[in-house]
Amino acid sequence: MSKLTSTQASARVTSSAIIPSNSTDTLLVGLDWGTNLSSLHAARRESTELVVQEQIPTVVGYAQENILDGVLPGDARVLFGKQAQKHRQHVRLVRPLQGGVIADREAAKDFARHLRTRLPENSGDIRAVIGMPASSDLAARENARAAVQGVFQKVIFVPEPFLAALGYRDDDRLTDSEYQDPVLNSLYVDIGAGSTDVCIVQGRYPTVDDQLSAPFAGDAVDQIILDAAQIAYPDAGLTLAKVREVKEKYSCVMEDEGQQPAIATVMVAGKPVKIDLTAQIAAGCAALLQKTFEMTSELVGRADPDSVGELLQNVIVTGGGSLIRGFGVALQTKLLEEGFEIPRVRVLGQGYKEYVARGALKTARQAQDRHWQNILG
Amino acid sequence: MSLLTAKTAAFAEPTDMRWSELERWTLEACVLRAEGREAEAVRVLQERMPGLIREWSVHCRLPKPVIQERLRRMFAEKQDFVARGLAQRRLITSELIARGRDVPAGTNTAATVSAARQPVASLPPGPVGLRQRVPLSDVVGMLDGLAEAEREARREAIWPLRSPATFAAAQL
Repeated sequence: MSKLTSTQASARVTSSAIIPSNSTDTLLVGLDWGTNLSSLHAARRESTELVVQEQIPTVVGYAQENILDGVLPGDARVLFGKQAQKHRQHVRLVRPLQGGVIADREAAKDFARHLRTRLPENSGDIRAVIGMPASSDLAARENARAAVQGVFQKVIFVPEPFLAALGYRDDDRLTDSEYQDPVLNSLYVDIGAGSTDVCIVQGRYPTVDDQLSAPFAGDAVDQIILDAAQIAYPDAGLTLAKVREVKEKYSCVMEDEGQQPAIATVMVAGKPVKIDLTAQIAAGCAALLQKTFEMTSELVGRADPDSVGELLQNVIVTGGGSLIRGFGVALQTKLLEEGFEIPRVRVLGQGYKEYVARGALKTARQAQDRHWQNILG
Repeated sequence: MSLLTAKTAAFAEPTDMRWSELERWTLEACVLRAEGREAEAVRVLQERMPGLIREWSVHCRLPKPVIQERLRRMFAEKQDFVARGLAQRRLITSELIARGRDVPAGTNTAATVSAARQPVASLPPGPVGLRQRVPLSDVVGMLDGLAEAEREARREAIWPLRSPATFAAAQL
């Protein structure tokens, strides 16, 4: 397969490459393989310094047939991340993951091999701890294993909320009396592209009874908006990609007066036409808020009654969905209206991706040999 | 035959529907517990069983010590059936999993997985998560718990836990 001869110059969103390394020691990798965005951390086992810290949009672009030379960088047949997005007109964009799990195995393999190119070339034994959605089953793990075959030598799959809790906790400050440990009694709401996960973290890893997951998140919101927009503007030729672009700019759950009009420019018969998607975006975001509220309420209802007061003070919303304007305040208001006592909702935003990767690296450092699964290939 | 035994034989027929229901739900609670679904097991034990026990106790008209003894024996039997079923299942499925793998020399047999040979489509749905409580500071314990959860999911794929437990109970 020669697809991957391409794109060394790809897709770096945030990169702090950090120290050159010529060591052949074991390289430890922490990977949050997200539906929209992946976060990659790597460090030598014997060192605390990161050799890679990078976020890459989880997307693969396959060059269109018969494309002219010089259109794509290096005449690549495959582009990844930002590069693929940038050249979307000349490639077939594939998102390898849906709902946090692999949906396209070939694209996932290609993406995993691209991740390998981001790591130091002379890495010896590469061991990766990879975050998986809390709701992922054995088949999802098998697919992920198959995808990273030949990329990493050994892997461990760990539910993302575990890694986020580990990554969010500042170990250096645990003895600081001023430090409020965020994992002692908190409720985490992670709204990704494919799923919304809610879990209680009370000084221990959440068990299956401490978490809820629903396949209703950013992608579902996009579909709601698109369906409604196609009814309102049947000739506009709207696509999910366009809807996503507009949503990311204008998404909001504030009351009417707080919402900025969501005006999109689309091409109709070759002419630019402005359409108003404010109502459609508001409806999609409201549906997500309602779903999140229902899941949060249900999980609070399962918590030990003695812990609920403090738990409600630490509702933490993360993931791409948390970037919807006013989401935290709206969730807090709904909880209050429902009768929950003085809830306090905080929004972490996309920093969550970093926490998962950081937690994965912490886990890799502590894993024993018996925990690592060899990947044949 | 003592009076107690005679009374037992007269009033607690094996075909008693109430007793059968009690057996069924006791087995269910044991299986749920073995599956790590503690909250559901507790719900069965606390919400369903008391009513069934009360109903059967009133209907069978046995002396209280006999009722208590029968229930104790039945609970012990069901726990034993599930435990034996689990042990057999663990042995058989471990052997099947080991035979189904392509393990080159020098690899860690216990942890090696041949991704290409796994029947991905036939694996059971459901999250692979912790069933027991592990403190956040115990990363090793968390990883051990997850590894066991994954092994259990593989056993479940080969031989669902409810099969041996239910099979054992059917041999009563």
